[in-house]
Amino acid sequence: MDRMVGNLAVAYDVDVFILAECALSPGRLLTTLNGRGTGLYQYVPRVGCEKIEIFARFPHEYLIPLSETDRLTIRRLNLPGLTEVLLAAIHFPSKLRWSAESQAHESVVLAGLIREAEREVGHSRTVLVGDLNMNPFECGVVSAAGLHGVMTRGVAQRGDRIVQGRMYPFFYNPMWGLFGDATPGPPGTYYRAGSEHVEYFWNMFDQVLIRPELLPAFDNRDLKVLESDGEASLLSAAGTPEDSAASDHLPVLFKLRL
Amino acid sequence: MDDLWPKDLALSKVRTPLAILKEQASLLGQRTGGLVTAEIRRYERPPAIRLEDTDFGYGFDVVAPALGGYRYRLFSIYHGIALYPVTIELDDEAMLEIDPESKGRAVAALDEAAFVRVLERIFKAKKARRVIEALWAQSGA
Repeated sequence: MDRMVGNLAVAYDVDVFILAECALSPGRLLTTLNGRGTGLYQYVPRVGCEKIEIFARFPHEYLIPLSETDRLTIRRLNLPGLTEVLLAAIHFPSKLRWSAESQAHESVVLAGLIREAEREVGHSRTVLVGDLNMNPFECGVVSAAGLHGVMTRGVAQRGDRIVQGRMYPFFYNPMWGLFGDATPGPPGTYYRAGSEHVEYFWNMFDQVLIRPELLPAFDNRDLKVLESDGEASLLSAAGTPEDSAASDHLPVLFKLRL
Repeated sequence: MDDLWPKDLALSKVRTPLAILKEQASLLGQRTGGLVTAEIRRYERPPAIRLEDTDFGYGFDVVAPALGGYRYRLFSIYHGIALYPVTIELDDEAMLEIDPESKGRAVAALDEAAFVRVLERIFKAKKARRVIEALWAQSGA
């Protein structure tokens, strides 16, 4: 896996790696990253959230932890001379252990924690990234009380919506635009061929959601589900995630032009 | 005027889950000289998303004021209008330590005494200690 991450750093000139449930030691990954001639990466120390590892090509002091759970880290990204952004990284509970209803219930908690953090810092220039273990169309991602992720900028830029007397802010969910085989790149980020009646096969569990206030910094053309690490394909001959690859999820790449 | 209220109204002093959490939050602050404190945040949950007996929801956050107000959600509780039973939601690691047989992330406490016992186990669990000790150290203690 460290070789794959190193290849990604070279191929895509990555500033920040956000890894969920990384089995490798930070020290080993750091050695690999810093041996590829792509600049000096630093390990961003964990505090309470132990399921997410972050490596950045700037001092970790610029990525200040603000609010965390065991699966969520919300950090202030405060690079010199640039507008502050809130980076929220999540590894949401999976369908192996939780029902869709429980995931929807928990997404309300997640949305609440993000809004509390936004109130704390006084802005909502927030990007949420991670393995949501839900598709963009599922209740937890779509519902107003959940993440309220909508598929178009136009709707998201309305800012918020009132439902039953309560105001709920939108997220823009650009992942909708990457679904299926008529778009560039793989049809999703996670493949599962189960045996139920309803089977999507390709899922878009790994997502990037952006608040309307941050949309001027985001170009959809910079968002990709990666099928190669720059050296090796991440897909098998059948076009599904390679069994021998470091992860059964495909990486997501995006850019914020701050 | 006649007093029409039942003579046997059970007006006993039951400590609410919130009151117990506030007491413990205060004690943590005292123990750490204010370097690591705890705050309780009320959940606002729309009725359509509420599960049974979750009218009142609170998050128990460990807070480090000296670290820019960093907060870590140690656990959450939910209860209905009747105060008990209380549902306590924990992270995976704490759950494994407190109830290894459980497949979920929640523990139910049927009454005040049971709730206090669960809290004690949460506070003494490795995760809570690790977070508090790390925040204490980083706060320049």
